[in-house]
Amino acid sequence: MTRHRHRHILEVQGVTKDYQLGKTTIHALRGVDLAVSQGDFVSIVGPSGCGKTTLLNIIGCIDKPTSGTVILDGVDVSTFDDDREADTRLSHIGFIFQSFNLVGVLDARENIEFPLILAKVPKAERAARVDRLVDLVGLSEFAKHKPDELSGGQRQRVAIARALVNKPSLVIADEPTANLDSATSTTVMEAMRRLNEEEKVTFIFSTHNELIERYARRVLSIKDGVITGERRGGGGAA
Amino acid sequence: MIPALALRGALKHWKRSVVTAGAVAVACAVMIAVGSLLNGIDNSFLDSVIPNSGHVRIDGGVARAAVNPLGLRGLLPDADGLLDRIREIGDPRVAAAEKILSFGALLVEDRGEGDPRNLAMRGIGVSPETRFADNVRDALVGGDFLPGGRGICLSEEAARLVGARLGGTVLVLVRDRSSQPWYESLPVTGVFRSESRDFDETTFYVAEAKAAEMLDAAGQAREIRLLLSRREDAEKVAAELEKALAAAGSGGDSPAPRVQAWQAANASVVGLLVFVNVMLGVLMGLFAVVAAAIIANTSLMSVMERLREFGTMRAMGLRARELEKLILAEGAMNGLAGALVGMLLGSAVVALLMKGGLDLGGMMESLGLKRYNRPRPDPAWYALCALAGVGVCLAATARAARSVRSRSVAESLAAADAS
Ligand SMILES: Nc1ncnc2c1ncn2[C@@H]1O[C@H](COP(=O)(O)OP(=O)(O)O)[C@@H](O)[C@H]1O
Ligand SMILES: [Mg+2]
Repeated sequence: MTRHRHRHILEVQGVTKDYQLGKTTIHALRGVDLAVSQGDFVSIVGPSGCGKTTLLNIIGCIDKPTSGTVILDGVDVSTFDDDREADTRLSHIGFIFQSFNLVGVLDARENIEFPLILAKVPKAERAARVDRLVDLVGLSEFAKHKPDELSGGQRQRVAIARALVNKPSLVIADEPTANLDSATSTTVMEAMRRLNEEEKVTFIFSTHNELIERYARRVLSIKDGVITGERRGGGGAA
Repeated sequence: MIPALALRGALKHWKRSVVTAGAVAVACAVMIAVGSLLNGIDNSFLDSVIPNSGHVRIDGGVARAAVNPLGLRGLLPDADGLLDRIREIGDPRVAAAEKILSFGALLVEDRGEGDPRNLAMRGIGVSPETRFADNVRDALVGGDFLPGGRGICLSEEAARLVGARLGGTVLVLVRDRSSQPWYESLPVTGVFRSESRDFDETTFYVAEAKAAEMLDAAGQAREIRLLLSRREDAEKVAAELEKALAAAGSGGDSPAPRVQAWQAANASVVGLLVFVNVMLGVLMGLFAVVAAAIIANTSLMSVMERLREFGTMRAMGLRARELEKLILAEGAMNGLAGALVGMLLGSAVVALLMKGGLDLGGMMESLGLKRYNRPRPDPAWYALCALAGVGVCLAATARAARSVRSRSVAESLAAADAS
């Protein structure tokens, strides 16, 4: 299957990002081009400091590129103001973080529900959607647990459910397994793969772990702020 | 959603909340207690103004300068005439005018034999219906206040010292205007016990007519006291009256009487009160500044250490403005809780002090203030303290919230996670 059979949900064109650190300019991204289709399972692989987080933040409307454009669902989001960025994150993007970043005061269910409340989804529908996702990530027994009562793998599965709950076009996961042991990493990646295959969720995740990258269908290598190559991974929907 | 989330945030980070709310509470409580005490001092002074000088006092002016302030040379020679003239003028602001005849006397144990005990005191001759002895009437522990103008009203302590008791008699020894000694056995018709030992050991009351008779000073008085409907009018009334009396009395040979408002009559105490007020006011101001700084700091810390949590919420799609509201709501809750606890705490301290009174020592008495200060709670002051506490907390949180808002989402997410 070729990329051009689908409309791209994400197109990154000539994106650069410079950080000014005193007198020196750090070129974190030096011209990145990338297209992602509906249902893709993409991994961005590279050593620490190569620009993975920077790229994912720009794709996820958390950061702005220095130059270049980011087109999400056909709309150029690189010029959005803060509020439109926030609204875009709410409706189009799901985030999974390396250190889970659950809201500590909310239990698992409520963490998953949080984006729905922000999106002003009616209560009954919220409950139905949360229930379904809690089941999907296998946390029915832990729905009432606070984050600090959950294991790392359970927390990350809560985070996955939270990322999916608003039916985003794209789920971005920045080193989702970096804080997990390898067995737990496997269960988390398996959960993502299943969601990709069964629910057609589009994932783009970063890692510097070769064991993890094989879950992706496309593996993009990044080095010093440029994409240096792409190959097929072992996973993802056919 | 925002209030619920804010409440949970405040509860989850309860240690921070306790510190912030606690700072507000302690600050409120201290401000309330000290403010009420200060108000109590002012009030106890104003309470003592009426029995001491009325709102306006008219005297001969000589008594002050005389070596013996109770000597009979400084009396107003024509007090009755003055009273008549004051009635003629008929100023509607004047509620009552009375003559007071104070004098030096020796109370002597009324017992024929042996070596009787005695006590040098100040007698005060007043009308039995006087408006200027409410403090004594309130402190009566036996008998009545000069019933039908009869007898003597003295303190329990003075009665003990001269071996008298209610229903018994005591000898009152004076020198009259021609320096002739005069003594008379008076029945003890009233006994009081005030909070001031100093007052109790030095002052007794008899009817003004009896005093005038004993001193051979009919129609004369130490002073005339005026009670006004509003004490704020005192200085105006005094000035007008002084002019009127000087014009009317210019023909006579005696010097014009001195007319003083209570502020002038109690000038040294008023000055002292201003000093105490300013001092405590400055101290309270400094305290408020320090408290505000502590509140501001803890509010700022409690927000800043959760930067990443807030960054996460924004990554989920919470708008910056909404986040600011969330943080503010949490600050408001902490501030309100603190102010509430502070009011309760402050009220408890005030209630405790009101029960026993705060012993400020004999120095206060010698300065003309009450020895025991009872705080006087003022709802407006409570409200002001509470509002200020909430306000400082809100202002500090607002600053913290703005600072959170000014950070990019990426920066917030990268912040170290302290929670
Ligand atoms: N806020 C920042 N300020 C300055 N330099 C930054 C900032 N964020 C990232 N960088 C730099 O940009 C480069 C890429 O960083 P990052 O995207 O975090 O890499 P990765 O996620 O692949 O480890 C690094 O050299 C890093 O030091
Ligand atoms: Mg990174």
